[in-house]
Amino acid sequence: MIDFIGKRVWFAGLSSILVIASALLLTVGPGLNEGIDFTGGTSTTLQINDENVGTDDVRSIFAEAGFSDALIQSTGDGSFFIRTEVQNEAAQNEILAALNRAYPDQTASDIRPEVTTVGKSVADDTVSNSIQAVVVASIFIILFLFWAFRAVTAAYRYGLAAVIALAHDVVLTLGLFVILGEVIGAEVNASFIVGTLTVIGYSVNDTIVVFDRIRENVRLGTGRSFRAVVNQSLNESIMRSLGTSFTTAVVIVAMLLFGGETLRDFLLVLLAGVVIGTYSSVFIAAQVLVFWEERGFLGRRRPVEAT
Amino acid sequence: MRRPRRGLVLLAILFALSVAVLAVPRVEINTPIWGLDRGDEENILGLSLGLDLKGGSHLVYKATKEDGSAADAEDLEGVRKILEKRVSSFGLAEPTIQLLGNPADRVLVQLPGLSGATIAVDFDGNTVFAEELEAFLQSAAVGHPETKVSIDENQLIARMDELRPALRATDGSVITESEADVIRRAVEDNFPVTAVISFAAIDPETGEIPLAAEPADDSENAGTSDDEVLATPVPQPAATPSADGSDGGDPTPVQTDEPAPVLADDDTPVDVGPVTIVPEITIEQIQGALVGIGLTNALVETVNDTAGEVIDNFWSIELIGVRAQEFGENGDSIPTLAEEAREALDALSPLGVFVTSGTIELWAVGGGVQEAKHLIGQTAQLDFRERKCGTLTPPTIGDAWPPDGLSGEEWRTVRCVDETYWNPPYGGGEQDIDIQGSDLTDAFAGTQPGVVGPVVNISFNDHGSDEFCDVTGRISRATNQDVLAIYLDGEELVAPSASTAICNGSAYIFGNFTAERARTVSIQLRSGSLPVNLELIQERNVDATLGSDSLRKSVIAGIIGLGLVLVFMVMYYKIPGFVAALALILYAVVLLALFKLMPVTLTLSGVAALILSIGLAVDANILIAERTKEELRMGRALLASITTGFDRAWPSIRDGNISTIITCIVLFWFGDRLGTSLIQGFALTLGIGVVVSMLTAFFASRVIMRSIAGTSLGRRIDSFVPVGSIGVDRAIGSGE
Repeated sequence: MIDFIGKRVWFAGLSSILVIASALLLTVGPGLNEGIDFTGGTSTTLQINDENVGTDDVRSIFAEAGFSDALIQSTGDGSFFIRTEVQNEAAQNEILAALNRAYPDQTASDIRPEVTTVGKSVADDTVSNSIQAVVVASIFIILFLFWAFRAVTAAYRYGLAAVIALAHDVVLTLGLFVILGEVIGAEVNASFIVGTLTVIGYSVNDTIVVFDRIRENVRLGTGRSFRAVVNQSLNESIMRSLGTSFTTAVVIVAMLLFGGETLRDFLLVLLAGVVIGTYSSVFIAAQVLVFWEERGFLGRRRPVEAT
Repeated sequence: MRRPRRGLVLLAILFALSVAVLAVPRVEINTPIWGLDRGDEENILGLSLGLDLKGGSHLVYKATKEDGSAADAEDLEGVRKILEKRVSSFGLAEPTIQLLGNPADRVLVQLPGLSGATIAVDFDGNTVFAEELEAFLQSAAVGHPETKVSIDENQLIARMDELRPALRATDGSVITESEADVIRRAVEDNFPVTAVISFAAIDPETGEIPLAAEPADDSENAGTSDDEVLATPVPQPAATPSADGSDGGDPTPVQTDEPAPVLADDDTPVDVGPVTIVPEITIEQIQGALVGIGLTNALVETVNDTAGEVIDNFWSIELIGVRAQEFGENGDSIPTLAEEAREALDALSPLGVFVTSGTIELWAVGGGVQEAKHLIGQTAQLDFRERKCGTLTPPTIGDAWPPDGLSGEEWRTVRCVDETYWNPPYGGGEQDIDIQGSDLTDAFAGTQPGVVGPVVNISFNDHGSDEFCDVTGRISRATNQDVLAIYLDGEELVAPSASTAICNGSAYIFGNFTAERARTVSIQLRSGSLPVNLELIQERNVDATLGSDSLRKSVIAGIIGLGLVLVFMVMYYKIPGFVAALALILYAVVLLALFKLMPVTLTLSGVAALILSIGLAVDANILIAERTKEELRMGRALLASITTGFDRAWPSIRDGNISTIITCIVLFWFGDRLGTSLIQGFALTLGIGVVVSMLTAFFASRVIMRSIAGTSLGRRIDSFVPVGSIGVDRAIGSGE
């Protein structure tokens, strides 16, 4: 039997460092690479069939149409991803006109401009609604766990411990995305929200399975310490946790390798979430329960001798 | 072992039904009390696909009224009705127009398959085969090798990639014409259109055949004029209106003079009878006149009468490559070579000349996000027009009247309604009057004492009131009983008559309104009176090929992923893994069949939810397998272990899935507020997936497991525990 509880200091330390690092990445810098779903604006993808075309050419075209601060990214083979403030119809037409003047021999079907626009008000709504959705979902999950574990003493601890694990997972996933944003330009967009929400669902699901095992073993009431019961439960459920994470990760990796580009960022969130979620169920959620049982929520109680 | 066997039969039936639902592209069930029609032949397995998977545009507009106030639900209802008409006139398949927000303040327009352009072409007179047009559009001259042309009724439908839209300056003027217009000209040059001029040289003074004595160009626009001249309109042949659908311009049929007084048949040249020619015209003179304006390839032919005799001094002239009429950007007629030819011929002699056209009769460009957005973003205009209906008495004494063999009663029904009959030569056409949409101060449905059924009340400001007084005065005094036609966005809304001048600024319209119709009309009148401006606040365009590409890749990746999971399950968990694999396949099939039947629109985020739900479905099976292993390890018999394993696993499966369902409900609720189908699609797909996975994992797996345990395989306990599990006593028998 592996002694998960005994090594909890290591995991608590590791998680604390990661959470603090993520928090710093998110708040101090560089922050999430927010897409237009969050900031509002227009994104355009272009395909210009001209081997000599560079970002500067595209920049001058957009500057000509009045978007001198456009963010321009070359995605190779003459295709470009451009982000600007919200373009109205007239502005879009001016860009097309400028493109047409610059590349008169290429029709719209060659250039394939693909435009996505999100207004500022919509973007603001998206952000506030996403945060609310996360908070509301968390509250409901606490309430449900409180109810589901009502037969166990101090049932509220299970709900709060699950939410602590959940917050841990979300913060780490966001932190990871700051890094991904810097390295591969991964953008936080509407599908990222969906991904984060999925991580929440997954994290809670995983935690519940572990807690369920603890609940079952506590009910058996063998007279052992809570710590020993939890450790036994973790050992019993570890194969299942790994098995499930492995199979889900297999599907996600397959999608990453063979699926389209469109879902890439979303799948990365999911993959990170699955790994972090599994880790946190075993090393965070269950440990919080033990710590709470032995030392009180804020650690005021004196430690109990381990068996 | 009777129960498992019955369970197996049920599972087999469920599986077969689901496969059948998926195999048939379209599921149609009709019973007297309940009907079902699901499935889309065009999509994979007949599933209903979202715009991000099949391509299309997702446009969200914020509505504000012209005076700056927020638009209310009724305004938006009006906007929706206008947009529905505009979008459907654009020729798009299945647009969805939806009001968003609670209370509604935004309009969502979803246009599927917009990333390509569709051009409907009708070559009047000239038969062009689909293959010919396709080859031409694919050729280097046009440069659209992807074009596919099909035939729909009389039209050729060309599907092409996106066409460059017209570039408009901020004031709406055109900088560069649209690619569709460029292609249109190329098509017209390649498939020459022909203006046909029928030319009869007749002496007007003999009076044997009444002719328009005025210069020809005066009668040109008779279609929209209301001069006294129209009291004696000359019947015209069925001139083919050359509509330019892409401009949305009202086709104005060319009013032409007809050399014969009575029209036996619209389509054949008529016997003009004995005529005196002053002066004598020769074919050379005609050709000379045409060469004089640069038409060297004109085909001048004599015309035979019905008996096969050549009619003297009657010619048919074909001008290949010349259009009978053309329209400018704003829909106005612009002079053509055919008009010049007509004037040149007219100068030869006072002549009867009429021009028909073999031009492209219909050229409607659909598709193209830019074009669609331009169309949607326009502000709806309310037009008031005085319509002079088809005359009650024959225009010329002695004419057979009503025309076209209609009875008196039928004539009274159609004369103000049918565009053919209220336009010349039967009626006087329409005239714009000086009432603007903003002159209408209110419109609402209600009732009036003494009037049966609902009415639409309208009221005007001072200016509108004066004009309304004038126009109602005119139409009530007119012996012809004319009407006031009200158009919204070019579409006729209502066309009431009046029996007296109404000068107090308010009126009501009555007729055979249903309550619903009265409400609709008043909403539409109001939306035209204070137009709602639409501001595009969100736009997503997915290229159709990109969309189907994502779908194809996701499906392949999903199959690979699922396959790997199944292999892992069987290799590691052996028989329980194999059972889990069967349950997973059943799960996938049942879930897709449900999606098709409900129907759930599958989006990219839905596909993601699907992946996650596969993960959770596997999870349930893993939990069961692990629990069963533990029971076996504790020394229980196989069947008992299976039963206990399932029972022990159930609480975690249940609780885990319930928490996921709670999350889905919260997301669905917020998705509704966000107005984005992205989150809702995800939540709905995942929610359904979790419920189905719970059922298949638990019930299907249990039935299959118990059945297998009852066979000779049940004696091989080691096949029921995962690879490398220790502590299972192999000595324990499998019997019950």
